[in-house]
Amino acid sequence: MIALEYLLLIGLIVCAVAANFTRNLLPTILIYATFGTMLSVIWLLLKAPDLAITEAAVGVGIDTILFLLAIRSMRHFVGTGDEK
Amino acid sequence: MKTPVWYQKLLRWTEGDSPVLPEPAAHREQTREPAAEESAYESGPGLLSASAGRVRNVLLRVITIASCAVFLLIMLATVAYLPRFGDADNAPENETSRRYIEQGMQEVGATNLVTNIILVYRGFDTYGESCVLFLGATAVIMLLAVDAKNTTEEDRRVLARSDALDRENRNQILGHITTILMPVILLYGLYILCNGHLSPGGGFAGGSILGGALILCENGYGVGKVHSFFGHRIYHVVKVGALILYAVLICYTIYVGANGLPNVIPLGKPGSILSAGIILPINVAVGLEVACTMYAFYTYFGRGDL
Amino acid sequence: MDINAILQMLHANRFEAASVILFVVGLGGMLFNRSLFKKVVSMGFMDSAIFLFLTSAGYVEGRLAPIIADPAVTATMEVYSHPLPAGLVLTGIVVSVSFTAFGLALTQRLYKKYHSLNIDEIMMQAQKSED
Repeated sequence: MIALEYLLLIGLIVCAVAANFTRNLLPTILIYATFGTMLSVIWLLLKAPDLAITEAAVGVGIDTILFLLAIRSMRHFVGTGDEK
Repeated sequence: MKTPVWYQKLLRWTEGDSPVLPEPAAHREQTREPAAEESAYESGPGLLSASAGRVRNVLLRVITIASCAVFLLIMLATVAYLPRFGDADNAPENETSRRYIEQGMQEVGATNLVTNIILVYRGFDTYGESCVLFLGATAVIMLLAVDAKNTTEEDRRVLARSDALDRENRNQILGHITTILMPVILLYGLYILCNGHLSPGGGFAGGSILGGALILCENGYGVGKVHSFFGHRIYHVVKVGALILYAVLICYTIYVGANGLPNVIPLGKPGSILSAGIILPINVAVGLEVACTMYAFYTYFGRGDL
Repeated sequence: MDINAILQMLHANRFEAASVILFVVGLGGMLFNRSLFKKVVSMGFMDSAIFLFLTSAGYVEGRLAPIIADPAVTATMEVYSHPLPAGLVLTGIVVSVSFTAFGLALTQRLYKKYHSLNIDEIMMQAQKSED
């Protein structure tokens, strides 16, 4: 169990660091969704199933949709280039 | 009777026709010289030369990294001295938690203790949170709505083009999969919504799932399908109605609890679906509110209209 | 104090330590990213770090999730882990989504006006049009 905990915690930190080093915005969103999924497993390990369900529905589902829509509407314009 | 000046200004400001202080800005607009400004800008901000600016930038970067590192070390040192993780005598081990765990079910009626806390014991807090959601949706609508003041002609053209593209490429596979998935998602969302007092979940999770179902419906079947049962009018009625229902229930709980009056809503048998007094209606209200908010986020980010 | 003892203390509080590191990573992301979009994402990481810290305070080794399994048995403190931090964090998660939507809406408006996500460029253009 402790190995799983460490795996998830290190995964969280790796995700958070990696989100800053992508050139395009789409990978950032996917990394954010991965982060949310791992966090929701951590809530289960911490005996908070309410948080796990809410995080999976809100943090992963709705947040990801919002981010995707935001970059979709920003792509329409000239000079987007997904600047870092 | 003459209306005061500040009222006229406020009226103009709320109409969005002009900024709060229009006169001096407009004056400066006319008298400025574009060429001079351009050259002043190219020479860099302030008195620093280009190389000095770069040195300052590097210095700022180093200072920022260093302060982040120091902050991290201080916080890690603090964490090392915190009470052990998972110990029984941690900070939350106090009479508040004891009361919530040992008497929560008798006093409020739900077997899910977290629901007890967020909807009844700390209901005022959660009501504020619902208002935050409402305000968030309102702010998004203000910022992104497609209307005469927000949108230029080019934006409109781009939007129309992407709409036409979406309609042309309407995906058959997505439509069929939506038909298969929709009942399951709706059932799951309603289950989580209505069983908030018995099992994990509740208004927020169930409402987001229902909102996600609406979003999937729009993607699979097109906007017209959603508008046939969830138009502007129904959206506003459901959203405001749910918030008002929530407010009334919370007011009732606070009034009864603060004055020590008997609660007329029966608590029922703990563990059955029709139990826990006001928690089930509050969960439904919160779920509707959240579903509406999520759907509004989606439509205003995507199309700029409901 | 030698390094081993420190590591042991950090191991005992691994969730808190991870949440602190996450917080600093998010803070660094907000300070160093020039893209407004990534600033919003970093803010999400900072939110999650705070939630992780709060929730880990409510966990007690060997206790069950705070949902009463059998209503007939009187609940005692020693069986269930603390529900209070979970309740507070549940509020926070939903507020953070609200914030994300608001931040993204502001970003989108700025993008429409200045055609860039880069904060430096936006500031430059804003200064230019203000002077």
